[in-house]
Amino acid sequence: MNAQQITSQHLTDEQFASLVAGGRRDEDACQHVEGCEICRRELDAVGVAVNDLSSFSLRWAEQRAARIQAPSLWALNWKTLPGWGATMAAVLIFGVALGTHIETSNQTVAVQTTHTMAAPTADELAQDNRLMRSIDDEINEQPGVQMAVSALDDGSSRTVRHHSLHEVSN
Amino acid sequence: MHMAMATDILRLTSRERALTELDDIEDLVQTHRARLLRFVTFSLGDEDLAASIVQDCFVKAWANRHNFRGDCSVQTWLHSIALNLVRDYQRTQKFRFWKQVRKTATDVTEIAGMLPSAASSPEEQLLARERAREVARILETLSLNQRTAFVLRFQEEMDLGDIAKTMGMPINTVKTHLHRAVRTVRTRMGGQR
Repeated sequence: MNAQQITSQHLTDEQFASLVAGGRRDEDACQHVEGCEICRRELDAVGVAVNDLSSFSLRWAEQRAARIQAPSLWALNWKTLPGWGATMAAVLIFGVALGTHIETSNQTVAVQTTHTMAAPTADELAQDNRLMRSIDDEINEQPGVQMAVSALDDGSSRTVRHHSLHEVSN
Repeated sequence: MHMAMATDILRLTSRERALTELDDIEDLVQTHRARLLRFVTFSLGDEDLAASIVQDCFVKAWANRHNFRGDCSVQTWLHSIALNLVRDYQRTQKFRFWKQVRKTATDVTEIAGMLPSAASSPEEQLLARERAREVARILETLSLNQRTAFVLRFQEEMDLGDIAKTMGMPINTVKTHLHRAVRTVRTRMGGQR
């Protein structure tokens, strides 16, 4: 590149980027900037603005980054547990919980059953018997109702049921 | 032969040093959290989300520290993890029909005016803030790749090789993104070309 070309051609984007980043290896670019007022002003404007943004944003980030704390070793180990390991751990925890729950339920049922079996006394039995007997008597006094109930129970048609009820009314 | 061996030894030494650095999670977080937070906030424009991604980035780095080969600095490696997390997040967002307006969204131009500079006069501070805001506003209009290349080059001061490693792209592709970003900034700031 001769002297005339150096001054007539403005900086390429590559040269410009290199100079903004502080690179001074491109002698042609440096020489051009020295002789070209337009490129020098442009380089100064962009370079200063980029540096300003860099320093402001770094100070902003230093202030805000204080909330980012190092994770605890427990959290690190848990988060870095392989997928299958985490799944196994979850299954194990669920299994233990389920087992405990089933065992507790069985104990409760056993206690309830024992309680129910041991409960009836002679008085209660007599009372139950009296009640059952009164129900039997009631049913025997109304044979139509017995028929109607039996007709419903065997799942017969509505006609049969109607017929039975008719018998009751008669 | 000797040169290759020397390079291998250097790489091993730097890897061991890096592994020691990566083992100490407290120190790792203290050293890199601010730069990572800035980088992710510029990428996503959401401070809370960025903080969460930075936290995930440290967990991921710690979990995969034994896979670190030592062919780049820890800073470059952490930035590449953070960038992958940003890309993952953006990929999931793309398929959401209902994108909610985030309450924590950060106007990155506000970052420029956050803190006063103690070294300059009020007028100079005002001018500096305005200049920084203008660049931040332009950065918001760039694509993620262009913005990433720009931020890594001019804020994180990485060389093109490290940017290529961070972005997982060939150097020429990085150059293309960077030069497009620079052209946009030049044009929008009233450049002559």
